[in-house]
Amino acid sequence: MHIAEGVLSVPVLITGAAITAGATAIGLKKTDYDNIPATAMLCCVFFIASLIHVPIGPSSVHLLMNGLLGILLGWPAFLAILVALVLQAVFFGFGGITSLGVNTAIMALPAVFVYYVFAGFLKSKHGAGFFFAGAAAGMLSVGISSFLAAAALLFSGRDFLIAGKIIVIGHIPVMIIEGLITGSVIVFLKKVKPELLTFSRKRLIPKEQTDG
Amino acid sequence: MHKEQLYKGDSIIHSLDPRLRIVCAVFFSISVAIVVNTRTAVSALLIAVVCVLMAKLDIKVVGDRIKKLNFIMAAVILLFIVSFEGKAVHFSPQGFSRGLLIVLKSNAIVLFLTASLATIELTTIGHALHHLRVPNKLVHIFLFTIRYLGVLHQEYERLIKAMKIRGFIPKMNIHTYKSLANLLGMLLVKAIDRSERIVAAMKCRGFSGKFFILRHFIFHKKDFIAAAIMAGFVLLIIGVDRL
Repeated sequence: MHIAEGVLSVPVLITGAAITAGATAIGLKKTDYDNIPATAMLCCVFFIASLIHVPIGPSSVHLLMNGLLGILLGWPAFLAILVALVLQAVFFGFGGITSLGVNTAIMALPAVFVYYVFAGFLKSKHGAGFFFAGAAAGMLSVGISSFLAAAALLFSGRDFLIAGKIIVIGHIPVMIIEGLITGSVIVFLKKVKPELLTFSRKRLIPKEQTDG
Repeated sequence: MHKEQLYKGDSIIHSLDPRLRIVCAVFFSISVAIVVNTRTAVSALLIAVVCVLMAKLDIKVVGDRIKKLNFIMAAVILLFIVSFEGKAVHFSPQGFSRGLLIVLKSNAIVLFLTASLATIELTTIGHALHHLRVPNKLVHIFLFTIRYLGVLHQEYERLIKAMKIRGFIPKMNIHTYKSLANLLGMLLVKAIDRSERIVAAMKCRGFSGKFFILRHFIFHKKDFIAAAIMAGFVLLIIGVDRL
């Protein structure tokens, strides 16, 4: 979900940049050096997920997976999304420098939100809870992202009213798919590598093991 | 992964200091983003085109980069011009000029970024960001990401190839979504396993949070000239636009 350069008005650009700067500072504080490679790796997965096209009806959509990233990482998701968007700008010319703040906020604010709402469920013992926590996180994050994108456009000019509506409505099928896939990924991780689900709340390698 | 190797080149732009090119890209983008006058936007686009020509980039590659952008932009302009009230369709010329301004601005910025940033090797961008005082941890994440993006993408292609060999055809059904979720989950597991190995290897080598960057940049005479020209352009864009 990229808003191109030159589209948004100056107040919207400044608001987005300020939110991203503040949240990035929090994310940096919450990341210690041991977690940097893991954060970068999740950033890679997030980038690659955006290359996976999922068939839907006669067309296909690419995955966003900001909900998954958020529920696993928490605040550092801002760092991963920021870096991924910089790379997409350099690689493909999608987005750019002035819209970087807005685009990062659009993707990463919902990610942090779903972390606070749903990451707690991942501690539960029940199998079904995992799927629903993941599915809700995936759906909500995409839904909120599309609303934020539409709001950013609308605050830049009334001309964008129809475009904003199209964005929000167009993302409803994406929400469903993201929900299904995020829920299934969480169930998969629960079976295969459950420690990954509580990754954001502890150090990857216990302290006594690394400092010894 | 690396389909477009725009950073391989020997033009004047390629030889400029990467730090300067990043700073120029930032200031040019900002100055164009605040433009409200169509004529200024046209001149900004011309500056960007000249920079692309000076960088001697493959025109086809550059064209591919702006093709998708302009498809979306065409749709946006259409929505600007046409408005529906009840069953009547209205066309607004003001909507067209507002849309045109946006198209000019976004093309100018994307072309300038292609000339200035896409011509720097990614690792060099990381080093330059470090010299530009971007927070250390953020530069670390950037450098690790570009290092392992290709590796993880290969992993992804291996997994998807294995699925295809076993007859996986993506369709609109639960099976497809579940299979793709498992693929993504496997990718995550592999990614985290690798990051654990990286942390362990870094600990073995006594990593203490300081990244030693061996590459230092020197500001040459031509960098000063380029900086002066760009500063002039940026001031001109901002100044003329408000006249």
